Amino acid sequence: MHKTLLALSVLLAVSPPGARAADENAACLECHADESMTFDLGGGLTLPLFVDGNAFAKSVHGQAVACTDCHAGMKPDHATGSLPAKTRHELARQASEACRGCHEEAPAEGIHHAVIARGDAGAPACSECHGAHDILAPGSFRTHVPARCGACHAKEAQAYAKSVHGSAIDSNDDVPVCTDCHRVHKDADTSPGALSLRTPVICGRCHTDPKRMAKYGISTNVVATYLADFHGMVTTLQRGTERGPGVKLAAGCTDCHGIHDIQKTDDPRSRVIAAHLQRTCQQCHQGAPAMFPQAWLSHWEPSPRKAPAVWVVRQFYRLMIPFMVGGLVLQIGLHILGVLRKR
Amino acid sequence: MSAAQIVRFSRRQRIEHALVMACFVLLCLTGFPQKFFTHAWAAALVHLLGGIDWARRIHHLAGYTLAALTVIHFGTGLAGMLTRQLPFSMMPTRKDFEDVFRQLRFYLGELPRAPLYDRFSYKEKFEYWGLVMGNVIMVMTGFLLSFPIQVTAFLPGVLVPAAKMAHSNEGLMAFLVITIWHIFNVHLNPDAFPFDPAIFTGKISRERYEHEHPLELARLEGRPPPAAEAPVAAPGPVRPGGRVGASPAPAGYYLNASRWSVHPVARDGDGLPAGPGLWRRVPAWVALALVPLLGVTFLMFMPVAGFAVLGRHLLLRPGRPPADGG
Repeated sequence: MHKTLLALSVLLAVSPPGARAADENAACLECHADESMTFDLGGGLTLPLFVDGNAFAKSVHGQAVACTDCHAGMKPDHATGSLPAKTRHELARQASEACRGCHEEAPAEGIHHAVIARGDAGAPACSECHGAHDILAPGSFRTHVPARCGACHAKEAQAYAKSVHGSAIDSNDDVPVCTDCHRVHKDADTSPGALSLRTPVICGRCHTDPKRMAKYGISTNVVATYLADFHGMVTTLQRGTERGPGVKLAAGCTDCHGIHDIQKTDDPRSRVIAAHLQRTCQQCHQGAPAMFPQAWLSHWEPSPRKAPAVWVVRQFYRLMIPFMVGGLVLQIGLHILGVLRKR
Repeated sequence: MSAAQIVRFSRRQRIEHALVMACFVLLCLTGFPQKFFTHAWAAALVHLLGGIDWARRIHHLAGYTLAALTVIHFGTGLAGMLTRQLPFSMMPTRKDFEDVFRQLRFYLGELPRAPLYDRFSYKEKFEYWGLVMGNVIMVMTGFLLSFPIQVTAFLPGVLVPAAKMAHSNEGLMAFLVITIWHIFNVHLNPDAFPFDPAIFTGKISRERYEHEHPLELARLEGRPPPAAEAPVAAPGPVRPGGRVGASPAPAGYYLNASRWSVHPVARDGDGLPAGPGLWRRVPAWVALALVPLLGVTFLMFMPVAGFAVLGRHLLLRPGRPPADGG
């Protein structure tokens, strides 16, 4: 505590705007540094009142924000006061108003805002994702994201942890964390199937990046080859369509590869290895026989080695269309020439 | 100008054409947005049609209708040929191959006169065979794409993307051939410009018939063909190599090898067509097999012919006086 006060007093000398905060925070921590301090919310719920002064000092707010900037109206003598909330979640939602006091430009949209707007009070408030006293700068806590989201979305977080992306998270900056695909403050469309229709764009952000994919020997053609096929055409034209009774959406990336449990395409657990492909197709194509999956070229461009039949047909028409149409245009040209000559 | 009208297309043919045309338009409207789906116009058109699901439903409905029309057309055609009631007037013959050269050389000023045509000119035969063969490809591949689960139960799955590639490209070629060749030759050419209603009214003035199909008109009116196309050989007895033109023959199919022509004789004693060459009786399957074979050959020959005639013209400059000073 003395060290902190010393550090704060040094800071005070060079940073006048933080001086008030440092003074005030030090005063608050006189009591709130006690790890055992709690508040009885009633109904068997307790609220820890401990604040980790070190963590707060390291947080984005640590040097400039005073306790009462967020906890407005708290006086030094509040020790026996009451709280206007019955749960921590309720408190956190009230605190979100305090966040907005400074972050007024923060988008009031995104999936959780949409859920709140739908009348679901369970959606998280600012501090339940970003933290309260330990808020770090955006982008500096990637590896913590799955745990944060997993606090509520446990099933998804568990599946993700075993996936090709989640299992590499500690050693690899390239793999996406939850918020790379589910951009919580941007992708607000909660209509059924909206996210599925956007998977070619979402997955394509990384999977069409040659620099990133070269490291793993993954083709950057996967989105183009998907779009060249039936599913890609339909999802493109289905943009804005909602999944519902009688309205099926064509398969996007995750419908075949899986969502949170996505695996390498040669992993025995993968849904798209040859042994599992028929079953994967059958999710939509009921009764698809064993040869049905061959109708999908597995993201290969037709070539003399891969799908030669398709390649031959394409080459045939690449020659035939200009040859035929060119020949006919020439004959029409000669016809017009003949008419002009007679005049 | 004579007011006399000649019926060129039967009621049934006019209805068939109207249905094929309606299907074709619908198939293009609902098919091309799927082929060119990344373009804004495609998305707008699909939206207008009520979404991709509706576009596909309309496409399937029009496709099944066209498939049914194709099957009916083949069925009646085959029945007509098997009963020897149907003249093989759509079959390309040697005259058609030669007419292409003669017509194009006439356009270039190499020949003084254009060839005279029978019931169907080479331009019409090309159009017909293009549509028929295109339909065969479109119906077969379309069927494969409509029932991939049933088809891959007994055929390799790779046929599905191959069929899609063929369907998409053949459709584009059909669209280009129709919009360029059919619309120009029927409506935009100087003789018919701006619109020829014959396929809708079924009738053409006698004057125009005389101009466009003089050989058929002469036959219809029981006149000998115009002098330029008069047969060289006179009728005569059966020779070892076959029967000469205009002679009566027993019922059957007859092939004229020098004219690449097949003629059915419906009843014993009916006459063979007048003209050069010997008619040899052939089995029905030979006659029937020759029809699509010559049709496809002619399709492939047509674009070559234009390049060949123009190339020859540019290289040899036939029919032109030698350049001054040699």
